[in-house]
Amino acid sequence: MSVHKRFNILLLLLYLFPSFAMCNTTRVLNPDEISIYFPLFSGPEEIGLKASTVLSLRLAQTSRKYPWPNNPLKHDFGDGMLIWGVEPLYEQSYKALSQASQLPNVLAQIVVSGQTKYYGSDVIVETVIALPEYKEAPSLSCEKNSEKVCDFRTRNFEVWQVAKDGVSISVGPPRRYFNVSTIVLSDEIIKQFSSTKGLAIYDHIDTGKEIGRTNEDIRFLEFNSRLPNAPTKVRSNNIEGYISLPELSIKKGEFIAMVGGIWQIYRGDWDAAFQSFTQVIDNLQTRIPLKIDALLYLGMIKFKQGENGSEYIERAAELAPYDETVLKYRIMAAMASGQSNKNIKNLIDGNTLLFEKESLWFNTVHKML
Amino acid sequence: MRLPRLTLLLFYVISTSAFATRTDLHLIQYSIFNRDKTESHFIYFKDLLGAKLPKLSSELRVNQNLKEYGNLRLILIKDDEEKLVQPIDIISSLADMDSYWINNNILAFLTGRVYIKNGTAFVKSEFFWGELRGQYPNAAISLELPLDGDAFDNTNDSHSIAVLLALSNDLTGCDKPVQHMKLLNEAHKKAQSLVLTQMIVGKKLLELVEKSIKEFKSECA
Repeated sequence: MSVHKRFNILLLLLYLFPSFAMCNTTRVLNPDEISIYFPLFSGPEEIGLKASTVLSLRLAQTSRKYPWPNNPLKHDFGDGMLIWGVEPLYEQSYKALSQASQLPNVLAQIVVSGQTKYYGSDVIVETVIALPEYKEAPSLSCEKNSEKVCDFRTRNFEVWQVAKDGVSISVGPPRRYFNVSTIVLSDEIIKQFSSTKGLAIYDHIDTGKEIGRTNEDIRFLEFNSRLPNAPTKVRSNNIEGYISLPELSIKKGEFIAMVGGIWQIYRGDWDAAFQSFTQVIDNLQTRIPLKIDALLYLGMIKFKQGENGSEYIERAAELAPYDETVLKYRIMAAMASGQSNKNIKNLIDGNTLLFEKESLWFNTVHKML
Repeated sequence: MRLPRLTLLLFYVISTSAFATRTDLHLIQYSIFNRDKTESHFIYFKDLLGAKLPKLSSELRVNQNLKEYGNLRLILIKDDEEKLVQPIDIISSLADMDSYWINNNILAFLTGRVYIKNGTAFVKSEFFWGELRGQYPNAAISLELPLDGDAFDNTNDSHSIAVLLALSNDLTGCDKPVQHMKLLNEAHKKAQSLVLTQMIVGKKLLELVEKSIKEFKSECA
């Protein structure tokens, strides 16, 4: 079965996104494509398909290829890809999500699986998100019996590394499997979006006249998420014009902010990711486990931008003082900010119950001190 | 007619599960006042709890140290007519409760009631965790769960936190400190979340988790 038949693939070439300016001083050049895989959401009738369409299009709006209008450092965050599966996953475990996303014709870095059901006239969507682990970049060739799958990337922007005297330690995403608050979609939005194929294309940003319909291949040229109906410039079916993307009925906007933020981390778009995770922690309804992740990401972003992100990581530690991952981030921050060996040793010695004595990671830290 | 079969069931459970890791919750019929209005909520609660445990399992088994908890499950205790057993049929005294908990090698069994307050349906469970009470003074703890939108999709609820506490208390001594702390850490994060939505039960569980951590650290650090 060909890739084209099994998956409806949209290549997102994101040129314009006029919302914020770049301020970091190191040029980001991401030559890799970062993909999000949406297996068909399960649910009655066709609401699974409709809900995954709405969520993925909304998520696409968080992305951009270049900063705009100013890009003096010529940042290029590479291409983002959304891939839709035609079958739902019957198991929602990390392993099942990872396996589905690591098929040779998918190789997605983020998987979003969902279950939908009616709640009154609204549709509620429960999502679970996995970040499958691939061979460390550059992962351009894998042995047949390799423990990890290759995703053919040349850089791992989601990994934060600290080196000292030729020895290094690193951390990746705080959690590779999590869920976000239930998303409530109004009946109206669900009716409007049955699939990405067949959306009306208008000739003008203020709707105007319908000039055609989208086909299976859509190139996104410009997002205007702050304008009414979020008119989005696309090219599809040899027609260029505007489609209206939905405003999600989001009681809690965790999904877009969190998954959008992670997507931008993988792409090296630190400013966009920072903005997304700030939304996560500013949302009073964000649950604590997700808030902890967002704070860790924020700390990591600051360090990646050449600043000190310890403040965010310490805020995460206040919420999760017994978490091994948070401890690792604290040690990374302590090393990256040049804290004394004594401080770092104290940090480790005060938390020996949180990690295995034979842990390679912690033993490497000991070697570095 | 019911009891002999139940005895056989107990014998079967004892003979097959003695000394195995406790991963099961038993659910017995809850009291339903005003059946027309609350029965559907109880059915919904059973489905909800039945879905939460595999979800919690999935979360735990991502962690190398907690892989053995990949099979948490809810078992509905039914009679010959495939109806949920009434509490009075099997646990009419405190001694019965102790025996039931000991003999079935379970994490806990649940009884309780469903009621409606200000238009929202609530479940109040008596979570009988026997010797897995840890720092809690009683063999059963009262837990409340509102059956609203927030109950759907997550494991930040009182029942999931109680399960994590019971799992950690099932690890005796200091043999598995990392595993122990990881379970308590998960419970700690979830309890903090719960305080934001259900302050009373959230605070009760958060205090219990913190007390458990303090006690464990003082014993095993």
